[in-house]
Amino acid sequence: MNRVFNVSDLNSRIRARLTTDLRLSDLWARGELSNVVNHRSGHRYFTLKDGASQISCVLFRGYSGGLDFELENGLNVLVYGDVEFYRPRGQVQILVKAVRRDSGLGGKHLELELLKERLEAEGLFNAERKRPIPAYPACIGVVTSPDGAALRDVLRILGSCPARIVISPAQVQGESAPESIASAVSALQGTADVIIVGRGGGSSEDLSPFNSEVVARAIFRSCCPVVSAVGHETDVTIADFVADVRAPTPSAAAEMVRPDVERLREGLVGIEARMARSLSANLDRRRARFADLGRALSGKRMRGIVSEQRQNVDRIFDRFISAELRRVEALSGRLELAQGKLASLSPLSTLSRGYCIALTERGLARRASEVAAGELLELVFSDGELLCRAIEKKADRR
Amino acid sequence: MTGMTDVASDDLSLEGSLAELERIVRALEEGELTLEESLKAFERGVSLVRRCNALLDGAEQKIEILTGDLPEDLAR
Repeated sequence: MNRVFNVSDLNSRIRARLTTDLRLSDLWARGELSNVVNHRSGHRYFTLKDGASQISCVLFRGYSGGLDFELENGLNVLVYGDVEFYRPRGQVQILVKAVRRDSGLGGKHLELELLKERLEAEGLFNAERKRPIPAYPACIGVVTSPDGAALRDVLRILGSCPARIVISPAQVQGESAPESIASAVSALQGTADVIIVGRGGGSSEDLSPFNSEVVARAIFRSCCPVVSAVGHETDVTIADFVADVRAPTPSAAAEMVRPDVERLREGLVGIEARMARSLSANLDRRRARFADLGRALSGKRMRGIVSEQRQNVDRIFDRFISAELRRVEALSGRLELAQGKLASLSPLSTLSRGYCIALTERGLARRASEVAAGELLELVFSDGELLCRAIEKKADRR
Repeated sequence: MTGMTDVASDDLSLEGSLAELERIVRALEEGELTLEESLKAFERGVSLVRRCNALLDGAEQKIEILTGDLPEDLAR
């Protein structure tokens, strides 16, 4: 079908398409600066180009704080940011969050790019295989250096959460770091429900173990979700691409993993109220049914059966009322609805249907045997009370 | 049937308890259970809620380390 768009709709659609592609955000792009404009507003506009192509870039004032050199035409740079579609002009651009001089990391950098491409082609970065962080993990694994600040940050933020925290120590820099990190991730399999893998900030050399293939594969193999937390926000490593969730920093990873205890408590109160309400409604329906049956049937025997069932309901209801409901009632205003239901089951509404309650000096009389001949009784009706005297006691009529 | 005041004694995790609670609430709300079943489900549900609350109340930071010793500043 050929659909006709107006330009705004079309641009919105293109923008939505571009901004939902995770591979087009938090990326690094390399090229030469041209058309650099330092705008009065403090924003900087420039074009990044290589031999064959170019793309517009904008560095907003808020992000230029970290800039340690002047942007000049002809400079080779690496920019970090998100691809964005500027609708008013129908223009694809990079919203730049950081710029670094391209010192030509050369071979090493190229190697990294190749590894990235290879792993991506193999499907290690696929969005479909990303798993959500469990809301209430029983065990949180942390892979990092036992001596680093990252671990302290993570533990501080996790606080006293209702989960075991298991540290799987790893060496996070140096030659043996990749193997160390990979085996620390593997060691948590079967124990942890979610794993935080990371370290604090450092030079790109310090972070390089998180760009290694063994670490990428260990994260990929993990049976439980992995949250990567390497360095600062602008540091993006291969581990971040493979992980189920990328956290900008170790502290942020801990925030993501920590269960929301307050919300859980509220949820539990809600669950209790819903259960009480359902049970109460269920009892209500049955009472009404037995009452109907009682009216519809004649004959002593049938009345006997109905009355038995009815007492059965009453007995269960009494248990329900006595033990739980009082506690549930105390919980909060969330229970108002449930209480409304209960009100309809209270003795008062029974009274209005024509029953009455007999009281002696000792309190409620449930059986004739509890009342002595000649004793005074108070009969409570819905509209008032009668003071009576028991004249004679008769045997059970049934 | 166990008494109303019992706390679920089994070793269910928070996540497991919550999953079971969801099932119980759904079953109760569908209203297909018999009276006795409803009551049993309710009691079980209440004991699970208590278990969850107990797990939350008793939460303290429990740190273990897979190899080696906990650094001194983290051990207690």
